[in-house]
Parts: sequence; structure tokens; C-alpha cells
Amino acid sequence: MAESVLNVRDLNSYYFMPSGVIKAVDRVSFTIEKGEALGIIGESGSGKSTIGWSIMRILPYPGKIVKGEIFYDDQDLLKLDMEEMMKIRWKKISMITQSAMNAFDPLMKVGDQITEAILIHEDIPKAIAVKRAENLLEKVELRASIYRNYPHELSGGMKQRAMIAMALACRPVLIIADEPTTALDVIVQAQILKLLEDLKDSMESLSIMFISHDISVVSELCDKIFIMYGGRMMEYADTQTIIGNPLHPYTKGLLSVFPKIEETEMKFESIPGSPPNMANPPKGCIFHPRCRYAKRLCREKTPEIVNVGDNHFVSCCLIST
Amino acid sequence: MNAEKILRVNNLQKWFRRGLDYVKAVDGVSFEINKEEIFGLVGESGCGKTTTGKVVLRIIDKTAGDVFFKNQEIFGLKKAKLRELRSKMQMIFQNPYEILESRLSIFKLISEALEFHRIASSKNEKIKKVTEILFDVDIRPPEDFLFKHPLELSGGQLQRIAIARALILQPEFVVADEPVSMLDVSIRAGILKLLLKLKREFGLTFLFITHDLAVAKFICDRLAIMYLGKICEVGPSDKVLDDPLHPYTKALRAVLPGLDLDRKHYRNVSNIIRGEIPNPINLPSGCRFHNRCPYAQSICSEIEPTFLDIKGRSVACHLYST
Repeated sequence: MAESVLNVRDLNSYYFMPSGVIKAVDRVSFTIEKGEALGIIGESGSGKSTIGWSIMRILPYPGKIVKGEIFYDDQDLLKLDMEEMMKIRWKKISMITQSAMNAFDPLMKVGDQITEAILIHEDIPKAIAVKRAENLLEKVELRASIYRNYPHELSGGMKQRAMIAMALACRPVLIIADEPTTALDVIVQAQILKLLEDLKDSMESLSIMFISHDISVVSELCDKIFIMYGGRMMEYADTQTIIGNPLHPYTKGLLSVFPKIEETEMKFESIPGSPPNMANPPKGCIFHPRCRYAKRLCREKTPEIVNVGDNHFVSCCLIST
Repeated sequence: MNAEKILRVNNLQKWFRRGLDYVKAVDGVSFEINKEEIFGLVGESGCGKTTTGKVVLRIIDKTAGDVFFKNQEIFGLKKAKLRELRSKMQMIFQNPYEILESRLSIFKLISEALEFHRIASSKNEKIKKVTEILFDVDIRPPEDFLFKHPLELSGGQLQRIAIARALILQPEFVVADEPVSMLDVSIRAGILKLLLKLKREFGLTFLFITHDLAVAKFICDRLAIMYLGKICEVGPSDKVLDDPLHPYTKALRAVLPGLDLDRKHYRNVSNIIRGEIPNPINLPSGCRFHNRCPYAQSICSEIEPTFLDIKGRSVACHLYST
């Protein structure tokens, strides 16, 4: 346990809307070890982004972390005051998002923004910060001359790389990547994934929390996978197990709907129904309306999280130890 | 499949002015679509596929070239004939969530098109037609949905409404621009299968625009891979995607992630394709892919390749000239 970079325990984050409470993250627990990439898979409304915002403690109003503990290096982030949290945010734990548009000020040169990010958190001479910014741009395979460009002058792929450089500015231990390649073309995506893997392997012990809806991307980059649906954990295990021996019906569904292009008679399947209305979610197991195995029990009982062995966790009424 | 050609695009060009330069978004594209065929335009962003779709429907003007809809050149048509044409050629857009901003009911959103084309005068007639098309797009029971608002519908339902809006005029030709890319993966198949069903039922012909190779392979009969405004490879979709010949098609296939666990498809990306898409204002000389191509020879930077028919498809690449 002492080796875990991040230990999320029973996290509950809700949005208090006028119409009611949305349990966007509901009893979520997982760990991320040093140098490990954890993939969080979920479709729209699954709550996956809310987890990232909760860890960074940047939940938008009317969101609130209602319960739980988020241990970073044995410190519960949820117990820190704002000043202490600021020492962690962007320093130890940083974030990259789907669109670099949110990360960059359109009126400032890219390099200057990275330099500024360094100077805010570290008391070093500006010239040194500039040099570090240039090195970071090279590390993410951008020409150092990009330093002088404005964000709008960069392509989508280049902006994502610049955002990664920004996220690395203060030498974080963990990067939360929220759909970092979703808006990118497949070739740029491959280049960014390779970059992330190289950073993980080269920069000693950089951990990555990779949030995505794309199970194929996550299965290639990540060591462990956490499957979310309706704010709750469905299944959580190492990648080999999730892909090779999935137990939860939703996991099986996600794997079967992934189109296998190498097959001659390629099939395109769907999971019947649609994601739950989080303002009024189904009773019992939140997935049951779409589950082909659903029994009466599933409508009545909320499933427990069961450890079926070897750190393989499943939350399904029909699966017990 | 009928050999009648619904659409013929001949050396189409669409250039956009940027100050003193031109962005050659579509730069000499030719293809034909047979009746009841689903023809794909596949490529990454900036390749010109969406622009081609818009020019083909005359939503934007062309710079040069011809577009024939059933042997009628569409850019020569005047007002009345053009309006008639527009009811025969429709578009399904990428973002089903755009209509969320509308305060109109589902009935109004779909019947708008009927009003514009002065079809079905009485309200009862309109209700009947809208009910029928809702049933056809599997929004059932249709009566329950007539007076709902977009906010009450899921993403998949919204896209079905978008399809209903396109089909209520009983077009012959539909341009579908990334119709499933904004939908969750678990519901995409339903929309794709619906399009196939509607194609069979109504004898529709499709131009299907997408960046997603798996979607293209599933739904398209034939497809063209586009790069920087030109077609590099065109042919039956399983031939082009299962056995790609053009280095760019090969790259697209090679980097596609999968679930096979023993391969990281991104690992060798720098060996398969170099760098980034160049600025379309400054197109590379010769073959516009040459500066990223692992197989590039000196001829590639000098002369643009022409199409050659090999292994059941056409490729524009010097690798294959004898």
C-alpha cells in the first residue's frame, strides 16, 4: 500500500442540481502504483471525468465530494486546505484534457505559458525556467521554436503535445489524462500514445490515469482497467484479465461491440437501450435494464463489490466469490 | 446492384481563399456512385471529405469540375430546378445534439422540410407523414414522440430524428457526414444498421463520410481514402482496408488500436508514417504524401502519381508503376 501513488477509497462525488442529486461518482475505489497506467473506461455520463476533477479538487459547481478519501502518498487530499492542495495540483498531480483550448491562453505564446507555470510553483530564475520550458517542448517532440507560437497557430496534435509539456512542467508524479486523444485523428493519436508511453517508461515512475471511452486505446496503453457505468464501478482488474477474462456483463458488452476490423465478416453490435438517466437512475444494479443476464434480484439489490481473486473486482449481483 | 450512376464527380476542386493564398481543400477529386451503393469518403481531418460532401450537395460552391446527379450537372441548374433537386439530395450531419437548442417539438422539426418544399398541406397530412417516418427510423410508438422536445431524447434517438428529417422528403441520394462519431460506441451499431435498412427499403444511395475505418468497412460498399484534397486509393471497402496498397492507407490501418493484447499498434508509428499533415497552403511538390512516406523515392517529390488499377482497386502511388 505504501507504494501506491494514488489510493482512492470509496469516493462519492455528487452534483446537487435543482431537479435532484446526480451521483456522478458512487462508491469508487482504485489505486495507481508508481510507473503504472490505469485506464478508466466509461461512456458519456459515466462519471469518469468527475473522478479526475475530484482528485484535482476542481469539481465544477454544483458538484461536491460527499464522501471518501483520496490518498496521494499517504496524504488524504480531501483533508488538505486550499493552500496545501495548490502545492499538489499541477506540481505532483497534473491534468491534460480532450482539448488543449482549455489549457492555453490564446493571447500568450505557448512557451511563455509553460515558463509561467514553472515560475508559479518554483522559485527559480526566469532564464532557467525558459530553458526548462524549451527542453519540455523537445521532450514532447515539438521543435523548440514552437516556444514563440500562439496556441491557434498549432495543429490539434501539436496543441496536445504542448499541453503535455505544460502538464510536465513541474515534474508531476501523476498525470490525469482526460480523453487526451479523443478529438485527434488516428495517426496523431498513435503518436501521442507513443509519447505518453515513452514518458512513462523514461521519466522514472510517471504514473498515468487515462480516462477514455475507447477500450482498445486503453487496452494497449494501460496496465489496469477500471470500467465505469452510471457513476459506479462495474469491473476492475489488470488489462490482461479485463480483456481476456471479463466477468461483468457490461465489460463483455463493451468488448463485443468493439468492431474487429481484421475480421472478414466484421460485425457491429450494440448494447440495447441507452445510458441511464442519472437524475432518476434504475433501482438495484444500475446496468440491469440493458443486461441480457438480468434477473429479478438485479432490479432490487445494489450489487456489492466482490474480489474474485488476484485483485480482480466485479460488481454484479450474479457474481459472488 | 443497379449499374445506374446516381452521382458522378469529375475533377472537382474547391479552393478557399486565405489572404493571398489558397487552401486547396478539394483538389481534383473524381468518383462515381452507383444506385443503392454506399460510397465512403474516408480520411483524417483536413483531407477534404466534408468539403466534398458539401459541394456535391451544392451547399457551397465549387471552384472547378463537375457534379452530375443522374446526368444533370447540378451547378448549372436554376432556382426551380434546384429546389426540386434539393428534395432529392439530403444530408445527415455529425452532431445530433445541435437540435437540443431548438424549442420546437419533434413534429415541428421534422415537418419543417415538408413546409419548405410545399408538400402535404394540411396538418393531418403532415402528422401522418411524420408519424410514418418516425416509425421507419424505429422511434416507436411514433405518436408518443411527436410532441416531445429534443431535450427529452437520448443521443441515439436524436440521431434518428436527424435521419427522419433527411428522409421525410423521400430523397434518392443522402450525404451522411460522420453520423455516428458523436454517439457512444455501444449504440453506434443501431444507427448504422438503421441506415442499411432504410437504404434497402427506400432504394437510397449514400455518400458516407467518416474518419473511422471500422465504420467504413462495415457500412460502405466502396470507398475512397482521401489525403490533403486528393484521393489516394479507391475500391471495394474490404479490399482497400484488408489489403491496403497506398502507404497512407497502410499507415491508417497499421496504427489502429485493437484488443489483441500482444500488439501495441502505436509502437512503430514513426516507422510507418513521419511527422504531421503539412499546411494545406504549402502543399508538398509531386505526391503530396511524399514527405511523410516511408517508401518515398526521388520521383515522388517531382511528379504527382496517376491512378493505376491493381488488385481490384485504383491507387495513385509511384510504388506501383512498372
